Amino acid sequence: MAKSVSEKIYVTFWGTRGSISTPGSSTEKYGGNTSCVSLQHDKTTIILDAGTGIRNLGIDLFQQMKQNNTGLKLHLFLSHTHWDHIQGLPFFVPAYLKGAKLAIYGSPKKEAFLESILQRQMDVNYFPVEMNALAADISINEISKEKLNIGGLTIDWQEQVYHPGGCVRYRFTAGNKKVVYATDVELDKMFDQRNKTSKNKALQKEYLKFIHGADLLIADGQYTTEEYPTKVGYGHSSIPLVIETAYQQKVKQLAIFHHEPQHSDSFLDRLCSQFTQKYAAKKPPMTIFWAREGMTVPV
Amino acid sequence: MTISKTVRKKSSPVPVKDRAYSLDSTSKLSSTMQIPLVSVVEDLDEKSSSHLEVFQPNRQPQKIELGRKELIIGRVSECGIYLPYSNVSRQHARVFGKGEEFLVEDLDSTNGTFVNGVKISRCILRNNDQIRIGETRIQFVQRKFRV
Repeated sequence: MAKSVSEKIYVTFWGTRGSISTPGSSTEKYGGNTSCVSLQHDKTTIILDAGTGIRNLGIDLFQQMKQNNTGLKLHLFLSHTHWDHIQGLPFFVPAYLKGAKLAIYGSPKKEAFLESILQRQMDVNYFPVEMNALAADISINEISKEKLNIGGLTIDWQEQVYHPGGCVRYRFTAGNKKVVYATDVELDKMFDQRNKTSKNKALQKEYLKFIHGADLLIADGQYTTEEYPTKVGYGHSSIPLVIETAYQQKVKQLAIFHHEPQHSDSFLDRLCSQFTQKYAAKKPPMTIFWAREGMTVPV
Repeated sequence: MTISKTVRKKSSPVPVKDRAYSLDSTSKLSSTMQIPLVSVVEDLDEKSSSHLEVFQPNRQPQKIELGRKELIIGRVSECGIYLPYSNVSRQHARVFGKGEEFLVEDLDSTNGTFVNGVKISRCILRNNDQIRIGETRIQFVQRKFRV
């Protein structure tokens, strides 16, 4: 029997770069904007992170709204509040639209700070428009332990401790389809053979269970094996470890995300061909791709 | 507690005669022939081009120039790219221009549209991207000029 249309999740990449935006001809293919991904499920629109990529998403949503003559009800989940995950928010057109609804969700670890962090980046010293002046109906919510249901999507999350300041990974489930967004985490530290503490073992187990069987895993793959030793503690993972861990957990499709700013399109093309063919030939195969701006994949 | 204050020193202006050139003299350096910018833009626009190279099994490769009009790929003969194969949907995908870019979009086909091996619903095309529909491979080629 054909799958119900309402189970399909459409995942669009609006910003795939890590750390800082990298405009220019050498990053045109994979994109220079920082983290932003949208999930469309039936009539529900979920946004993951508000890096500089959210600017183009905002323009697209605005055009859709005008074309279809509908309102906007958006849900923005922040993995954490480092610059490359929030910097696009002041340029997000729907935030300026009266009548638009924007619910922002983030880690409870930030407590009351989530609101003040977002407000502070729109302080007059950094940006000409203050957050209070935004016309949209904006609510800022701390996620709780319970699973959240929005439309036909169920959302659960876990804290990722191996990133400076912390970071949250999210899982979105619709029927039997699962999309996991797990960026900004240093798996090399989590799976460091020398760290045999029970706390670390519990963290490993939690992670493996969380990503197990995902139809799409969007994962931090910022460094090559050669680069990683000089980047220990920065909170990002080495590519082969991310891929092998995903494969062991029977992930069906893996999107390598949060590209290192120094990596050009041709460099990412070479990495892509190196790993894609290897894992496509395995039994069972796993599809791997390097996330690129302007690409929508059906899940 | 003493608070030291940094005072930015104003740099003294460089006398005009000591500059490598002055603003007054730049006209002397410019070309005598004026080239209107609009003609430069039009010229570059003409040089910019995008096309698809279609590789069907057991057929000669086909080159299709892309313009403003959308191009439908499918199994019915009216399609801009006609692929008469059972694993291709009647209207399988479309290629269209939006702003300065070309995109490929799957039209809810049965067997999917792939870009560089990834099943997509929609994708902005970049030079040398490989679209796959059934056994047909379609390469996107773009020559871009900008001012």
